[in-house]
Amino acid sequence: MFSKKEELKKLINEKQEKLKAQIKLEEQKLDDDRILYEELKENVEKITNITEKDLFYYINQFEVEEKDTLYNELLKIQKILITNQQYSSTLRLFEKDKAFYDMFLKAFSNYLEKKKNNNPVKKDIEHKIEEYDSLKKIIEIPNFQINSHTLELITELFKDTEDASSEKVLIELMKYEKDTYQEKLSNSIKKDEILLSIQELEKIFNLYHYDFHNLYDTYKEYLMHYGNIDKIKQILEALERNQYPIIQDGYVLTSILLGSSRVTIDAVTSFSRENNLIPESLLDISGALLEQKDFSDKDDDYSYMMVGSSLDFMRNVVTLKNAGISINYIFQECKSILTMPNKLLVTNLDLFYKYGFSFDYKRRGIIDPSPAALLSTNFASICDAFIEIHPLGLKYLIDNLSNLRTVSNPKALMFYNIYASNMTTLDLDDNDPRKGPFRKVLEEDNENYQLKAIITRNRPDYRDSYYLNIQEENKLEITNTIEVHTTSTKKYDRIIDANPNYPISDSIFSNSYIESIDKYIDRKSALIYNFYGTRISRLKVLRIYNTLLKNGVMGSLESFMYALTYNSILSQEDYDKILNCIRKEVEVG
Amino acid sequence: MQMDFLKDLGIEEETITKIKKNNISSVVRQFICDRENASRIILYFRSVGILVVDDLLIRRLEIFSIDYKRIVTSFENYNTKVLVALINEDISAINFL
Repeated sequence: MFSKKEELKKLINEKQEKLKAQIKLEEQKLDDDRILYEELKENVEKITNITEKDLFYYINQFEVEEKDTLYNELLKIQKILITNQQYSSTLRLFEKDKAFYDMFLKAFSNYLEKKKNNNPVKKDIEHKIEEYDSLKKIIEIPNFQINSHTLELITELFKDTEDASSEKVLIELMKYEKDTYQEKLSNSIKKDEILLSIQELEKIFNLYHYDFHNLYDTYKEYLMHYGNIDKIKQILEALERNQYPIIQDGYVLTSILLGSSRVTIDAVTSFSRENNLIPESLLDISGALLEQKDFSDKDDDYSYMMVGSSLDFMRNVVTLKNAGISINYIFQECKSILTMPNKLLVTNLDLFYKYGFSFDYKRRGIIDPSPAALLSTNFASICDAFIEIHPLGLKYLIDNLSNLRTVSNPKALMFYNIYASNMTTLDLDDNDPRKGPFRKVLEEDNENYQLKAIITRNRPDYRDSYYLNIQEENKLEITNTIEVHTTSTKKYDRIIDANPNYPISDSIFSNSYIESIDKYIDRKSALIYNFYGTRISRLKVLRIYNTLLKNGVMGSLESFMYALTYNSILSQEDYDKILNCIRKEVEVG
Repeated sequence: MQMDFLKDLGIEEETITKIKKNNISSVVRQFICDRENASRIILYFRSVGILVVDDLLIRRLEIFSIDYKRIVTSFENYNTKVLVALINEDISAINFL
């Protein structure tokens, strides 16, 4: 939206010019009114030139009692005069009419006098011009303070652009400040050099009622090596001005002093207030108060400390609000969502609803597991895996949505265990861990499914026990399943890996291959294609096939079969069964 | 240093590496900020017999940012023994809280 100070100044100047033009217009209007008044005073006939609408407008502006009566009387006068003009009649105005006309002229004169001395519209515009003058001074970074009024002014600058929402303007402001600040510092900081002395830090800490010596030595060193005294001062001042309490946690304090800025604190605080979040609570998700900074390649302590999510936080609040999800609910249930990458949240939220899940605000327990699903790093693939692996897979997933978070690999051994448990033909007792992967748990009136320990192998005493001896190296052999490889598999894999969250286009629904398998949509669930007992996730097929087609792959039996069996755990028999179904449909088609 | 509190609680380096690998950086940072609360939850989980604390740390790190008192109250509202047995079998049972 704006990246350079000069651009912003240019916009302000343009805005001021527009406002000045409005003042001229106002003055012109007053002159016109004055001329009209003189004409009306000179000659009563002139009232016939005023439209009913204008007459109503003027009388409405006048400070007179019984405006309705005056308006109706003036209309009557107009009618008399118009009749005379049209029919050359000589109807006369009565004394009563003249009195009303005089009343009208007097009110008009008062109106003009008042407007000349005190025109509120003109005053408002003049005031705005002055405000923009001060805004020009304010944007001299880094002493840049955001309050809701500054934001309003800047938002107005962008009123005619598409990106004029206050959130977007805030985001731009923060980027703007960050760029300018970093530019300023780029030549002055050398790594591993002590930039600040203990005395300097002690002094500035004391000024804002903090004790530098309460910090652990590591944090003190971070501040001495990476800190900038002006910036630290500005941040402490911003914290105090925004009425944050003294930050007790040394980790949080140090990260804010090194990773935040005055404008970030002002902007995020102002944003929170506008969104009915208590700013103080931001200290519980302090990443929101840090300048946006993605994780560097290093996984050292300092890098984690500097992970800043201010932009993600504001975008996430907007995303959640737009989805009708209470921010306070998320704050209580899974506050990590508020500072997670917004792109991931948007994708996961979209998938969450596409797969038909919902948040369970009135859940039987205290902690709702569904928000945790939004933290998933592989949402769609895990959904697909549970849908395909077992007839109860979807039910289990809905009962335990947090599995989208706990499981990240659709080819994890656990899925092979579930698959194998399906194929056992042994005549076993229900409680036997080898019979069926799930255990029914009755909780109040709900029947929930849980996986057995031998399947999940989470429990330490099961770590070395393998269900039916299924292990990474023999999982295909024992479960009698296959990995499909065709000449194009690698190419398709590369496309899918490069476009993990490609959206499903509407056009894919009318693709001939997709249409050809509509008859296999499961009667009980539209999320599943059921090929005579073999379940395939419908959203997976739509997503993968659409991604391939949109990335230059030709529609063919090979590419379609790739989409159908992507990540699926299938036997050769199942694969052939699906292939035959498709061939049959294509031939018929 | 910031994840060292886990070592003090007997969590092995390998688990810490997995925690970092399995979680987005903002969630790890949040966990570090909540380390005092997290320590209390880890100790509580162990005291009630949860054997899968490492797995919970790796896969459900955000749970350790929930207020400790709320976690304890939730456990006490349930048949703790049964709940613990279920969690040890499948960590998804923590959803019953």
